[in-house]
Formats: sequence, C-alpha cells, structure tokens
Amino acid sequence: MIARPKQNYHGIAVTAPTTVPYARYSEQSTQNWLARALRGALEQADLKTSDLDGVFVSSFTLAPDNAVGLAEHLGLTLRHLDNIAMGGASGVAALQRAARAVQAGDINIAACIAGDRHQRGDFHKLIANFSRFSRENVYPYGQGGPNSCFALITDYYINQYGTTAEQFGHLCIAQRRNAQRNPHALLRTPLDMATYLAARTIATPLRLYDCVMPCAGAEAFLVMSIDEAERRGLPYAQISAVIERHNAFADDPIQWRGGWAQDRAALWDQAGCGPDAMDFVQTYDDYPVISVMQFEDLGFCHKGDGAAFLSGHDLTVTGTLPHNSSGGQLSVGQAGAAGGFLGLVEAVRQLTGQAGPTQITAAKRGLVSGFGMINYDRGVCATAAILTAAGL
Amino acid sequence: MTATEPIISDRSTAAQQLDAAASRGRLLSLQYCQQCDIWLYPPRDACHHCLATALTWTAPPANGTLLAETWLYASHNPQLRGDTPIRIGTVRLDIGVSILCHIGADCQRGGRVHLYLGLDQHGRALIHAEPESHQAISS
Repeated sequence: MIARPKQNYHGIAVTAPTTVPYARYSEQSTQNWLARALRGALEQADLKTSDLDGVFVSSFTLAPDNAVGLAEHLGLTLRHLDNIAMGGASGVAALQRAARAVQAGDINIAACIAGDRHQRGDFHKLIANFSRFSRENVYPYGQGGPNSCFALITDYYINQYGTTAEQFGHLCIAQRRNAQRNPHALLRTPLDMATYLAARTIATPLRLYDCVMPCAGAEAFLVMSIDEAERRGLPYAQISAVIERHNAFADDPIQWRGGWAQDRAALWDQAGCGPDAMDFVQTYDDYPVISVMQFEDLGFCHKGDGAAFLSGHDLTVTGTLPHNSSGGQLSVGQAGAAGGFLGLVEAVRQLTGQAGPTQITAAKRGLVSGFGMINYDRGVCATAAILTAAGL
Repeated sequence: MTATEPIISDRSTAAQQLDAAASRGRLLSLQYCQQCDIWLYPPRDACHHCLATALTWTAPPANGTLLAETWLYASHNPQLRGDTPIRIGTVRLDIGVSILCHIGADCQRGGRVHLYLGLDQHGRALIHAEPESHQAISS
C-alpha cells in the first residue's frame, strides 16, 4: 500500500461555538434542540440558512429520521450532508470531515451540530437498543446501561495499575470546581473528597460522581475558510492536527487503552509540538477512567501513571493543567451525542477568548479528544484534535 | 412488563442460535470459523478476521479467567431492582474471547472460572460463570 502524506488543515477556521443550555429533562424534541443550536451558530456569524452548504449532524434520538429528515425539517438546501453516528467521538469526526470538505472546495460553510432530547424514559430506550451486541449480549445482564461496561473497565484498570478512589475523585472534584464558574452546568453544588467518597455505589467500583448524568442539550460550531471568517469579522480557531481511529486493539482481552495509543505519534508529528505545549485539555469524560486513559494514550504520561500524573496537577481553570474547563460532562451533564461536542465547542471558546467565566488565561493551544460507542464491552471510536488560536 | 420496559425485539438469528443451545442444556456453544481456527463472541454474521459467513456452532473449551467484576446496584429495569446488587464480570476464555456474563458466588477476580448456559424468563440465553473447581461437581 502506498501511504500518502497527510495534508495539513491550513486555511480552515472553526468558529461560532454554540451551546444551548442543557436541561435535566425537557419535553422539547430533538429537532427543537438542534434547530436552536444551528440558529445560535448562524446568528453568531450573521449567516442565514441559505448561506450554509454543508451540515454534519450527530444525534441518538432523531429516529425515525436521520440527517436527511433534519435538513428537510429545518429547510436546509445542502450539497454535503453527513450523519455522524459516533457518539462521543462525533465532534472531532465532524470537524475533520467539515474541514476536508471546505478545503476541497466541495462546500463553503459547514455547520456541525449535535444534540439529543431527554424526556423521561428516553435514556432507558436508548440503552436497551443501543447496538445489536449490547442489546443481545450486555443489556440482559442486569440492564445496567453503560455503567456496567465502564464499571468492568474501571475495575480492571484499578486492579492492574493500583489507582485509588481519591485519584479519580481529584479529577471529578476539579471539574466540579470548573462547573461552578459555568452558569450552564447542571451540577454546580460544591463537591469535596468526603462527599465524593461517601456517595452511593452505582456499580462497584463506580460511585455516583463517577457517572455522567443524562440530560437534554445541543452544541454547534461552524467551519469555513479563514478568508471567509476574517471577511465576516469572526473570531476563529485553527486546526493543527487530527487523528481518528475505530476498532483499534480489538484483541485486547478488556479495554485498557483506546485508539489514541495507535495514532498519537502521528498527532504530535502533525501538530509539530508535544503534550507540554498544551494550555488546556478537554477529554471525553463520561467516566474518570476514560479521561485518565486519554492522558496516557495521548502521551502525557506512561500507561498506568495517568491518575497519579493528574493528581500532581491542579486541573482547574486557573491550575497547572486546566482540564474540562466548562466542568465537562461529569458536571455539565451528558446531552447524548452533544457530549461528543462539548469539549470541542469549549475549546473553540477558549481559543477565541469567548469562554467568559471559564476563560483560561492566554489559551493558545489545546487538545480535544473523543471516545465513542461501547457496542459490546469497549469503546470503539477514538479521536483527538489539536486546535490553536488564530495566527499561530 | 411495565411501560418503561422496552420490548427487546429483533433478536438476531445468530443470537437465537445461542438461545437454542441454552434450551438444550448448560453446555456453552460458540461460533467457530474453520478457515481461521478461531472462536467468536458476541454472536455475529461474519468472521471478524476473514469475513467468512459460514460459521459453525459448537462447544468450545469453556474455561478461562475472571478479568473484572462489578456489583451492579443500579438497574434500569424496575423489576430487577429487588435483585440488586447483580454481579457481572468479564471472563477471558483460554480460547481467546471475552465474555460479559453473570458471575456466581465464590468466583474471584483473577481466578479460574468455567462458563455455562442458562435461560432467562423470556427463553433467551444467559451465560454464567462458576469457579473452575465447581465444574467437575456440576457437570
């Protein structure tokens, strides 16, 4: 096979970071949430729907519709339309696809949107039919939902590497402190170590504050040429490097690493820098062990040292290694597929100086990583992107 | 079945083969690819190494190691809440497949286990682990 060199992302702007404030439960439909996200992004850029020619959408609850139905529902006439069904890996995947389509000249302005409704009973329906393998081979074993598999992954990890509950707690507590700055976070009650450790058990070794809370919400951002963004006076971030990997390490007996480990050299090579150059990190944090794996597999520390590495850092907005500055999913809530956009949208806010109360001082370079789709016993999709402030 | 309990429909033909094996008895049955000489789980429609679609069902050596376990305190099924905590685990069989299953008393993390089939109240297969030392007594 002839491997062609990976092209850069020069000339591409990521802009109009938009979050529709989440709700624990909401009677609003998925189309309603996605419409508000898209409208919010377009308003930021002073664009009309007729200016859009590409849409990349991620959602678990559009059925029986998909992206096509959404385009018709929202009156969008497009020449590139993608349904990105990669759960927590969707944000970076959408970014990469949109950037390439704009670079190639297939489209001029892309909207990437993600969101899910959350009415009572929705989450149960989602997990009961999440995938063929989970429906047939996981759900019947206690009907615990994602907690079951993440409990097993966490149990294996801590017994392999000696991680303590306090080390996971350090990450969760720091994110709660970040969330206290974010008026849109659903979980803002102060969290201390005693409360974290005393919380009820969900699935050993997971306690309440280790598990994301399902909710409704939506996120969006736009991708266009830098020329277009500058002509419109839009603050924008740039893409320095992207990796995407699906179904890596399928022969591992249980998940102790993700696809990032296969591609991290390519990521840092394309970015021309290393982990030390990051002003912040936004990991996919449905459970703390998954965030720890991302730091390890992306090269911040050795395998097994992740929890100790993080415990040595202040992970808050003003800390030595700001992590999940909005509070992350663990404190903002997990709005379905929007959870795969949350860190990316926050990163664009940070790099454009629009993060308001969660703004990290002099944020110029950041890492965003995604993790998606436990179909059977492990997350299949892994993504990561390095983003930079304009002009870097 | 309550209103919040979705009906699990569309059980695949492959999964139904496992159900059929469970209805015949305790002996574990798994798909096997003769071309690759490997065992497969979860039940599927093509070999994930060679894409062969002709897979046979047969009884594998059903012994392995309990890699991880959890006591599940929170179930989404209200009918199961009286049964919590429910103990499940990941077993790596010596033949190289990982199986999420129910874990019996006396199984220990890192210890040797033997897998066998049972049925739930809907006639669907469930896989259970017991300590390997119990195997001779029970089979």
